[in-house]
Amino acid sequence: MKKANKWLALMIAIIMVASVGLVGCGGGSSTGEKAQPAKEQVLKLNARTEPPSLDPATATDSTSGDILREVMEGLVRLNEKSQVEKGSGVAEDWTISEDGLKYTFKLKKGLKWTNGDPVTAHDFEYAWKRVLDPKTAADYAYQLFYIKNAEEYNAGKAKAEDVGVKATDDYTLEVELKAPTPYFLQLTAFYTLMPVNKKVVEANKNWAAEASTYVSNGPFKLTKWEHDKEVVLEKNPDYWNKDKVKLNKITWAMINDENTEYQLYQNNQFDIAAPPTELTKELIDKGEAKAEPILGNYWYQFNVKKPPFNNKYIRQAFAAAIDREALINNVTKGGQIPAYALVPPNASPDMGADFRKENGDFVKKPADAKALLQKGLQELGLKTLPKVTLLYNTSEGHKKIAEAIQAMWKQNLGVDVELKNQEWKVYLNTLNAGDFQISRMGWLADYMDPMTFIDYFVTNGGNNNTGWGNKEYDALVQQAKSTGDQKVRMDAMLKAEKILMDEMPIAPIYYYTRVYMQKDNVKGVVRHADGTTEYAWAYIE
Amino acid sequence: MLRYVLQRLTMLLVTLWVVITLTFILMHAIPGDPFTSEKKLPESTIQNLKAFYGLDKPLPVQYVNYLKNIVVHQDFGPSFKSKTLTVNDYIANNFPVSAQLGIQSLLIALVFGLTLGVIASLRHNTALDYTAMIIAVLGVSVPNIVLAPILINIFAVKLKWFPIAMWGTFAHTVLPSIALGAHSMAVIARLMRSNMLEVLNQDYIRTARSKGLSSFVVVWRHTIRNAILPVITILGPLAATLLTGTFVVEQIFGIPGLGKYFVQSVSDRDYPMILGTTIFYSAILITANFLVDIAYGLIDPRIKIGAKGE
Repeated sequence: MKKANKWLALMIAIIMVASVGLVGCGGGSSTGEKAQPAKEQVLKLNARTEPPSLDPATATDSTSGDILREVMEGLVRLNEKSQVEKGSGVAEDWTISEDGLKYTFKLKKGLKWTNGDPVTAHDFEYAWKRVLDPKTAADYAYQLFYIKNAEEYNAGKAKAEDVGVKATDDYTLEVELKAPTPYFLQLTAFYTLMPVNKKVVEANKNWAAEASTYVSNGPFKLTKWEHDKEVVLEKNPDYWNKDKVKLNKITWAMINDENTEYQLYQNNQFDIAAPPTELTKELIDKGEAKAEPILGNYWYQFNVKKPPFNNKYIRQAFAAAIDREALINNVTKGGQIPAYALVPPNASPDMGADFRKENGDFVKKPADAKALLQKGLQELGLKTLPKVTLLYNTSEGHKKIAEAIQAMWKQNLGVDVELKNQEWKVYLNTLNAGDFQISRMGWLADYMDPMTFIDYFVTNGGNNNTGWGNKEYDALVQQAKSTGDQKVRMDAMLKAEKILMDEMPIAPIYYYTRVYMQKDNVKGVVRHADGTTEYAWAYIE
Repeated sequence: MLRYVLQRLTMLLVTLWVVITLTFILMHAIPGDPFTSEKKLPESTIQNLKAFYGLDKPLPVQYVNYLKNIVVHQDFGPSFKSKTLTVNDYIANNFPVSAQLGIQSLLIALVFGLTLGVIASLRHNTALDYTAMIIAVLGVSVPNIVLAPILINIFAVKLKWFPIAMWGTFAHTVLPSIALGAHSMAVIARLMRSNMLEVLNQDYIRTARSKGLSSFVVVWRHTIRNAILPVITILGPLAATLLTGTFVVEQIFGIPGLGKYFVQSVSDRDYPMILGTTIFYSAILITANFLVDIAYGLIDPRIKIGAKGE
């Protein structure tokens, strides 16, 4: 081979290797957002990840939910106090039958989709039945199972016509429920129950995949969706309550690294951000970050089918021996609230009294732990505790908590507990198989009502891996579920929680908080107790 | 040569088939499926989802259907995680970004790596050599998860020369390309230096020098060309690593690349995404090696490829 050829060959080698990927070297228009003056009313947020779906029927995650709440509007939109308010959403008014089973919604007139079509009750009927249609395969179909025959239709055991939702004219929607559900109105604000434009969906099954084909009815419209890069919403000039919407634009970047997010926030490229884990406590202490309670409970669950946790005193002892304050101050450091019961505070916005204040605390003090353990061992006829293993899913945070609690059990109970971790889906499999002694779990509210926590623990409940069940408890849950009377419901749920906390199949550890930083000139962001956030009324000062 | 190329192409396809089959089997062997979730779904919903994605059929049927879809339609199927985009969409949207990042970092690695290596060898045991090798050792030993935040802190936050993160303009690509290319640059520099030193000690270099050839000619024509061969050998795997190994850098700089889906799909048990990205990346790796093999033969005619010394 000639000399010149050798160099040519080297060049070719480099170019060939490089060319494997040259296909894409073109792309990339500038998205470098410059700092905007306040009068521009642009809110810059970080979604962290690409929203997996902006179709209300198939969305299941909080990123998609945050965007959906701004671009779509359901029958109800929760107000600034997280309460159901007549006229705050698509429905202008509604009536509920005396038995609490039949809801008749009257829709506002003159509402428009972003493509100019009128928003009608038929869109709601279509959207809800689409969620339930087995062919749609919607993960969250169960959010509609409160409706008569909804579950049956989803399981292929009833027809679409049998489902208890019907548009009797363009502006009237009749809904029949299976049982009285006082929080049903609140659920109509949830994204799975948001409407879709029948004509648009039927014409293009991928309508929700791109901004150009996306049609919505909320305060904002989707004007740009560069996948994995940016979502841009702009004020919807056709929105019925447009005068209350002050922002012209919301941008969502997708930076999934907490340190980078923090740098961008410091650089004024984001208006709201979550602080990095290591800095959380420092930033909260300095007042730069805020921690607000949300409806979530982080707990350890005992497998009551396996010794020694088949004994309630042993379970109580393990729960009592955890020093929650110390754990929060030294380990989790996110301003969490120590949990001594199941239902978090502020869980009952529509019920008058606060559930947590009514029922008080249950978990005993660390000083009582040893006596409880002895009592338990005696009942089991044991002298010493058999080997105990705590299982958690792989994560730095869970690991630190587990290690701290392991030390507390050693100190306050004098027992050695072994730690074991598993990858998330393997972990869920293990829990479902009941193959553990103690394991971590947590629950975030599906809706703002104590029931979302209480019915978790019914005998053989879908998510209840503890093996625990109690007839009296089940009866109380059933009683609460079959009445629309808030007082009767509240009493039944209060009693149920007492039973659960006496039996203690779980050791509640802390109530979750949402920690965030927000620029001082950003006002009017509404943060609901269930952890969701609304920007429709936000503005830049 | 043609026969060799055909042979290698056949091997390439067989290798890909083995990759697909093994991935398919392993993927289904790990506990947990795509619909295992913290909030357990009702049984009817799970059945609907399985029917929707064809997971209700026996595994061999799923396997055959999958192969058919790839071969006939070049369709990697839907993503279980995203309800609106397919695996093909993800590859088309995100790979170009990973590729641009990979190519830029490969160029950085080559240009700076070769330069450092050559300088270090020519100024053997001088301050210049030590400096170059300190840079190389740092490049090898500082992982990009550490290097990236350092680069951001110095060049974006303090000096404000580059944006902190995100993607769009050329300025956005500089720091991530450096963060990604640093390790390969160091590998190339060290390799180049030691090869150069070895070649410089060969008899024929001494002969060339004694013939009165200028240092430039000796180094340029006789040394570098011979020393660079081993570097070419590692270019294939290196290029593949840079194209595929962008996960951490993409995460830190918020770059819309494909890397995160390659990694994340496994914990999501997003079967089509696991298979699609694995096949795609395997194809790149295999092709890169194949191209390098051919290039290698072209550069050094003593290395015979294929049948009887063409």
